[in-house]
Order: sequence, then C-alpha cells, then structure tokens
Amino acid sequence: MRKRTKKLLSLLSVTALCAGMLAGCGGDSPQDSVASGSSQESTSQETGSSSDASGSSEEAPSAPEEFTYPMEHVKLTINFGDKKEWGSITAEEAFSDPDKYLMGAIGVISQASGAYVESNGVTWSSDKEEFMYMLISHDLPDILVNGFNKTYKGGPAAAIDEGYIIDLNEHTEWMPNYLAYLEENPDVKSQVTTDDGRIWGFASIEDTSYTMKDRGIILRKDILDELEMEVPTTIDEFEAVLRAVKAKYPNMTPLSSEMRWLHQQYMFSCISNAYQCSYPFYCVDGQNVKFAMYEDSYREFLQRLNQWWKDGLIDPDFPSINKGGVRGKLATGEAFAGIQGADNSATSARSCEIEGAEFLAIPALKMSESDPIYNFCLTDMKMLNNFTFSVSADCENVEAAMRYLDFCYTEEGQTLYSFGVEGLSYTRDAQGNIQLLPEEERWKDEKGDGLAKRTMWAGEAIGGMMYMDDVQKEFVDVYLEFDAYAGVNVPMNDEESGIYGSYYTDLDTYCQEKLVGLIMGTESFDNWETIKATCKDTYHADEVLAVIQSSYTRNMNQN
Amino acid sequence: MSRFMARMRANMRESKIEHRANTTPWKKDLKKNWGLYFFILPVIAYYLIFCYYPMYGATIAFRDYSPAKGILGSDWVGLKHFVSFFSYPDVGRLFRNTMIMSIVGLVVGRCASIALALMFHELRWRRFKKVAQTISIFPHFISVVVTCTIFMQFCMTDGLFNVILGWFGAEPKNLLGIPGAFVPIRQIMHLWRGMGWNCIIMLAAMSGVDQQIYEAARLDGCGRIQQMRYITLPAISPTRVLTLIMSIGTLLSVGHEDIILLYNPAIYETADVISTYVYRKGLVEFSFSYSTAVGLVNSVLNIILLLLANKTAQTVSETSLL
Repeated sequence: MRKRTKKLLSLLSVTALCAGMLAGCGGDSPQDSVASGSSQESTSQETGSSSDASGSSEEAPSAPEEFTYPMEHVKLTINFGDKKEWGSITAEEAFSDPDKYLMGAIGVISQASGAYVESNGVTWSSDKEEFMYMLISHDLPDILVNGFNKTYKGGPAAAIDEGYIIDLNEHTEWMPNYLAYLEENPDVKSQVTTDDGRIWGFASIEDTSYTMKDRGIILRKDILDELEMEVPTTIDEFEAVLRAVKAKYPNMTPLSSEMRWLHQQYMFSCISNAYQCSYPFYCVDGQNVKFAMYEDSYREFLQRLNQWWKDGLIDPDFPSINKGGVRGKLATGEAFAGIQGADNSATSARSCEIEGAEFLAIPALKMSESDPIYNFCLTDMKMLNNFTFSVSADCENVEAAMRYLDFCYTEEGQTLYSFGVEGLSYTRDAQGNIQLLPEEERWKDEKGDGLAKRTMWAGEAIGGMMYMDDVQKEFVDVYLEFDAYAGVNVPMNDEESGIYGSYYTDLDTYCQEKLVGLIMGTESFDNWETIKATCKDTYHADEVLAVIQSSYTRNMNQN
Repeated sequence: MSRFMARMRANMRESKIEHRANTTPWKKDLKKNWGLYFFILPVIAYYLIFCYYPMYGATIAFRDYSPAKGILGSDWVGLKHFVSFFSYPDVGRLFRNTMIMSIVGLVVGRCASIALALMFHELRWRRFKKVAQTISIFPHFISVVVTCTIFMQFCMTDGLFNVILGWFGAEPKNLLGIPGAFVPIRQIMHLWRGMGWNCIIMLAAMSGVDQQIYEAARLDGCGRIQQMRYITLPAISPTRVLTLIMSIGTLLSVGHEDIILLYNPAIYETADVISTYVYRKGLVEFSFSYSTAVGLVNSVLNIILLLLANKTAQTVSETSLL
C-alpha cells in the first residue's frame, strides 16, 4: 500500500511538472487577454452618454456643433508608458479623486476632456517584441500608439488592412479640430494620409522651433580672450584658434567630439557648412539632392579634417569617446572646443569648476563671411514624431477615443500638455502671454513629475524654449541662426522606403568606414575615385540617391 | 521510497543487459520500465515545446513574414533573404572576423580557464583558495554594458592600458581606433569576465580525480608539475573534450552586445561580425525573415562544425558527444 502511495505521489509530481510547463507556454495566448477584455467592459459600461451622443450625431448632422467638453466620464486604454502604481481603475474611481488619479500632464487633459486614459504598460515602439506581441495576440488598447510609418512592414496602410487600426476618415464628424489643423498644415496631412487617402492617426508633432537645431560648436571664450583672438566665424579663423590653443596649451585637446557625429544627425555640418555639404544627403539649391561622397567639396572637407587630425587638433580619443566623455573634457578644461548638443554644453558649463571659465556657442563655420549658414538636418516641413496616436480596430467607443484625441488639437488641449494649468505651472501676463512659473514653484507630484514636463502627446507641442534654462537657451539661440534649410529628411512612400531599406545600411556602413579612415589617415585620398565608384557600383548609391531625390521633390511640390 | 529506488536500479541494470543482448522488443521494455520512461517525459516535453516546435517558425526565413498574416499566410519568397545576405559585398569579412574572434576566444579562453583551475587545484591554503575563487567569479555577474564602459575608459589615451604600454615606451593612442588591437582588447575583457566562471567545471572535474593516484605518483617521486602534467590534465581530458565540442557548436554565434558597445567605424575591418551586421540591418527595417535567414545559416554551419569536431574527437581521443 505504501509503495503504491509513493508511486502515485511521484506520478502526480511528474504530471504536475508537465502541466506546469504547458501552462507556462500557453499562459500568454490571445484568449487570456484579460486587460483588453476588462477595458472593453468598462468602456462599454461607462459610456452611456457618449454613445447617446454618437446616436444623435448619426440622426442629426448638426450634432458636432452641440458637442462640448468634458465628455461624460469614460475610460480609454492606451499603450504608452508604464502602468500607474494604483493599477486598473474605472473612470468613476478616477474622476472621484482627481487630485490623486488625474494630475500630471496627461491627467489634466483627462480632467478637461472627460476621458480617463490608462496605459496597458506596453511600449509604442513598433520594433519592440512586446508591441508586436500585442498586435499578434490582438490584445489591443483603445488608442494604439505606434510608429507604423517608421518601422512597420507595409506602413500604416498595411496596419489598417490587417485590422489593427481604423481609417479615421470614416468618422470625420468626431475630429473637427484635427481636420482644421490638417487643413492648416498640409505637410502634416500628407504624412498621416496613406497613398489612397485614408487618415491613419492623430499626429504628434515635434516642436520645430528648436528640435534638431540645438547643436553645434561650443568653445571656451575665456581662453580665446587669453589668446587675444576674435570669435571665429570662418573655418580658417577657427583653425587658427585651434592651432593657437595647441601651441599655448599642448596638453589641452583643441577640438573634441564623438566619432558618430561624423555620420549621424548632420552634427559635423557645423564645420562642413564651410564647404556647403554634409554627410550623407543634402540639398542646398532646393532642387537637386546631393550625396556627399560624390562631391569634391566633401572630399576637401575631409582633407581638412585629416590635416587637423594629423596636427593633433582633434581629440585623440575621437574613435571611442562618448557623450559623457566630451561633456566631461569640456567641463574639466581638458578640451577647448567641442561639438555637441546644447543640453550637454549647458551641463558642461554648469559643472565646470574652473575659475573664470566662460562657454560660448558659435554658429556653423563659413568659408567667407558672406556665405550662408544652412540647416542640413531639416526641411521646413513639420515632421511627425516617432509615434502617432491611432484608434485601434478593437476600440468599442470610437467616438470617445476620437473626441479625446481631437481635444489635444484645441487651444485648450495644446496649452494643457505644453504648459500645464494656469496658476499651478504658469501665469499669464497682461497681454495674455504664458509665463512659466520658476521650476521650483511649478506643481509636482511626490515623484517630482510636473504638470507639463515637455510631454509629447497627440497634437503639436509648443514652447520648448521656455523650458530651457538660461545657459542652454543662450547656446540654442546661436545655433538657431541659419539662413536656409538644406535637409532632405522627408517621408518616403512604400516603394521608396523599400529601396532605401535594402541598400542604405550597407552603403552607410561602407561610407562610415571610409570617411573615418580618410580622416585618420588609414585610407588614402588617392583612392577617392575608387571609393566613389564602389559606392556607385557595389553599394547602389545611385538608387538610394534617386529615391531620396524623388521623395524630396514630391514632398516639396506638395507644399 | 528506498525500495522503489532499489527496484528502479535493478530495472536499469536489467535493461542495460537486455539492451546489450538486444533481445527485448521495445513494447516489452516500455511495459517493464514504464516508471523510467515516465520520468523522462518532462524532458521530452521540454524539447518538443521549446526546441522542436519553434523550428516550424524557422520557415519564415523563406517568406516575407508579416505578423498579421501569420507564418503560413506570409508570402513565400524562397531564397531571397539568403541571396540578399550573401550578396553583401563584405560578407567574407563578416565570416572571417566571426571565426577569428571565436577561435581566439576558444583557444585563449580555454587555456586560461584550465590554467586557473590548475592553480586553484594546487592551492593548499583553503581560505585563500575560497576567497580567490570567489573574486575570480565575481566579474561574471557584472553586466556587459558596465564591463564595456570600464574597458572603453581603459582604452582611452590616458586610460589604464596606455599607462601600462607607456612603461614600455609606447606613445599613448586610443586603442579602440586601431584595427589590430580590437581582438586582443575584447579577449582580455572576456578573460576578465569569464575566466573564473569557466574554470568551475574544470575544477569540478579535477576534484573527482582519485587521490590515491596522486599519492602513488608522489611515492614514485613525481613533483607538483609532473603530477599536473601526467595525472590532472589527462584525468580531466574527457571533460575538456566535451566542453570543447560544445563550444565549437557555438563557434559562429559570437554575441553582438559587447562588440556593438566597443566597436566604431574605424575598426569595422576587424570588429564587424555577423551578429553586429544583422543588428545594423535590423535598425533600418525590422525584418524578422532576414534575421531568421542569417540565424539559419549560422545554425547550419554550427551543426557542421559540431559534427566535424565530434568526429575528430572520436578519432583522436575516443571521447565524443554522440
């Protein structure tokens, strides 16, 4: 009997083991989508009056004019950021204690619009496994934040066809403010509209008044004064300063920068502007896109840098120094000048303990005084952020979701997520202009999260400059001074992005290696023609250039 | 319970004998030893669920996989992704660098861990041995990111490596800008991280050697070095061969984390490997099919290498996995 019991026990334990493993495997199956199930329940329960509104809007076309915010309290789910520490709650619970549940940048939008928004904890990034898993298991939140236009195969059109998001054109009556915004901003409209005219999402727009223009050369003004030299504006003057620094302070690095800025984000254009070119693609005449590796002017720029490298004017740690390294070298006085973002320069300046040290930002260098300064990074188009807010195909209360997102395009909504609440984070002066309260006086929760901490949300964020401290603002003001756009970074259509995707990485890898080699002297400039030919014949540079040209021409003609 | 175990053991003995005689049909064997077969069920289930079932997913290497269409619904594109990978002009360099880094890692890493294990084995001061061993294992638990950051600092013109090289009169240079220095730097980093950890298995094998053999050797006048050479090393040779064969099976799977963190365009010539290439490629277009295709090529080559190594080991030392 005992033997049998033991046998049975061992059998049971093995069975339990197997069952445990199988359960572990199947636990995440789509059927287990508790989160979306409950959210759907709650939305359908709580939206009595909203659906009334939708009913009336179908019956009478005049309904949209009658609509006013806030909506009847409703809960919407979204995939954006971490779950709140209080877990999942209903709209009633949230609105019963707004000071607890509805504060912070997103919370105040909820208070004003009437929709409590709860994150399911999944990222919006389309190239992350958890996002893809959410799609495949069809465990979709009401508002699906996504980068379908950036990293999704087939783009937003495919996402609509595959049943993940809806075509917003089907319910134009629920997004009057957004439609008005799109009318005013045709460049945004073209980015949120598929090739066949469907609107796939509510755009989130970066604050173009300062984004991507906030980087360049920073140098030590006090040392410049010691050398009795003028602030350099041309590349020759700049070189003379670097040489003077090298001569007087042999242990000081004249110019420090991360190597990746040679080929990323057009950072080195603050120097290559003198040659009116920048890696990889640019367009200075508004028509013809150029590929830097095809241009002699770019070769001359590289030759110049090669000379600087040989003469010890460039940081010997150039190949592997990182952001913190450059920032640190400037702060400790190991480097005279650096190429970095204004935020990093501000950190260098603040943490610098050298007595009398003074940091100065200088505009991009020119060949002669009369030359223009180009912004090689941007066009004058407003560009979508990396994420866009779409309404998911599983959303049961489409009207509430659309009304909520549409609210972000009203002036009230825009003010709320850009600046917060009047009295708590900003005041208005006599002319009605917004004045942010000093940072320590702005409302913050116990974690230190403010009302409007430069939150990117649906809509166009404004007032970025207001959040900068004085040091950073001083630098950015200098970098903002440019004469014309020379960027070519515009949205591509599916065919273009297909070709670009197939060839660009390999071409870029090859070019990066060669241009670094040319500067560091491991590659000879005698091989320039061979390098050009290899770009063209082996790495399909012509094809890549052609698709960038066609996307550029199309986008520029549209606007 | 002990009786149950005794019966199991008896069954095992019997089944061994029967197996050798090859007289029992499998049905009879199953009936007789059902308990043993039952025990192996979870393991079989593990392999079926986690190793064999996902293999069906590998077919996406031959399709243009789209999550919405599913594995079977995605368009069949045949060898498109393989052709695309092999038509990358620098594909030869990728394979060459991958092989160099793996082989250097294999040879240097193994020699170092065996040497360290020998040293620990020979230590007689137990407390010091324990402390030293713990310290040697410790770097294994530091994250790759932190380790790489530390080594990047070491490679700076004013970093530790340049200070040491300076003693021999070398000019300070950023070591991560010199193509020829990358493999040694990475290897030193791996030794620091993995040497202590990897020597555990060798130490375990060494502690299993019969002490009487050492005693006999000492009586015959063997010194410490001779004992190491003629007793310890031959005694652990099955373990050495088995771990060698297993590491050869992963020869082409050089991890990309540390390389991505350390490399830069100036040293692509020696530092760019298959996994870093796939990583860069994946940044532009998130392509499941492409990376699966490359992974498949890797796995097939790994299996070929594994079988070759196994065969060689069988012929040379009569120890093998299969």
